Amino acid sequence: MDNMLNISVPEKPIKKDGLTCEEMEGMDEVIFVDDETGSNFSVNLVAAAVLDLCDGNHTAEDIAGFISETMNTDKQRALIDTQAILSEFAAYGVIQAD
Amino acid sequence: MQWQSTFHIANICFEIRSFTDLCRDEMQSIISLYEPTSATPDTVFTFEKLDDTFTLSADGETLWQSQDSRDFPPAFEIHLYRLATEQMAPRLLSLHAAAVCVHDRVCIFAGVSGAGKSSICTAALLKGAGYLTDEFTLLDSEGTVHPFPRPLQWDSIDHPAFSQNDLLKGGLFSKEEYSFPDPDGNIITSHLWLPARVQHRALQTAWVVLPQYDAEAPAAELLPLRRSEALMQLPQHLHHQMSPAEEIRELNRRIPNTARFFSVRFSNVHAAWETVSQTISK
Repeated sequence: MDNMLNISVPEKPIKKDGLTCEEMEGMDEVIFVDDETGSNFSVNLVAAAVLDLCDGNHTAEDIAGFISETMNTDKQRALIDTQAILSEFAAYGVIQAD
Repeated sequence: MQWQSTFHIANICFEIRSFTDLCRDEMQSIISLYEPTSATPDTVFTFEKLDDTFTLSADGETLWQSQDSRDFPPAFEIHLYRLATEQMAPRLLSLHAAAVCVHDRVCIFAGVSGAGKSSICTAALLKGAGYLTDEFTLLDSEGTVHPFPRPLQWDSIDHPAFSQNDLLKGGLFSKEEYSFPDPDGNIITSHLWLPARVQHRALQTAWVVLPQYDAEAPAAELLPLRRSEALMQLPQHLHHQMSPAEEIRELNRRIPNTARFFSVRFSNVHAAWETVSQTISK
């Protein structure tokens, strides 16, 4: 997921159905598998946490707040990163609107 | 009965009971790299001639019939590999990959046909690595690979990267062959290359290499891969049907966290093994 695309992100994004997560123990990597299409992609743990919070109940600000609190990082920085991650997820069809 | 032989591949014991002496040498060449055993067989192959028809069966089920006994060896090979991989699962999962060992640790080469996994495996064997398999890498849940040391085979008598002389000198390989007619009656010869250094113990996986032969590539270019990158490429090489999520989960469970992953793009297979060997020796 290297290409940043200018895609609109739903206000309260929802993770695509049928995604299964496989953690690489002791590593900053998670693989998500789409059981419907068989496609897969890997993300780091922060992006995995962002995707986990895409449950239709959280905005980008909510997600960034959680990330910022958990990782003890600057909230504004966390929001910029979260929005970038969500844009990529939207571009790849990993999240959808409510 | 004319002859019989009992051997095991990983945890499965096979027995051949032949009621004909035809193709005996060829059949014994095919199974020559497996360890003999006195255990009770899980599957019994029977070769017999019934009413002018040669019949191959397993546990009473007819697998192959032909008027020509020369069909036995290829038919037996196909069914042996199929039954072995079916019966081993789910305890052992078979990956379409070659595996060699260096200092009691396993290096797996996984790739599509033509990627060069058997070639790089052969180059490794010529440099003294131990042989586990060229095709069926059997992964258990303890992170070890069980040997499935079938004879190496390629289409013509000479491999583009290895002359017969290369392989036979020094005693690292011996050679056998069998011939059989194709459906048009043309005679096909299957050349079996038998490595001398066969590993019979299950050993820990230490390295997974994804080779890619490319005539335009530099001699050899080795790049480290993230575990996730490699694992996402491996499911296509599993011999078993399961859901995409299960494939990733099983591979993640069966390849130790300590394993290192690489890709190697090469035009010269000897240089490719040399590069891999230098890196994994560090």
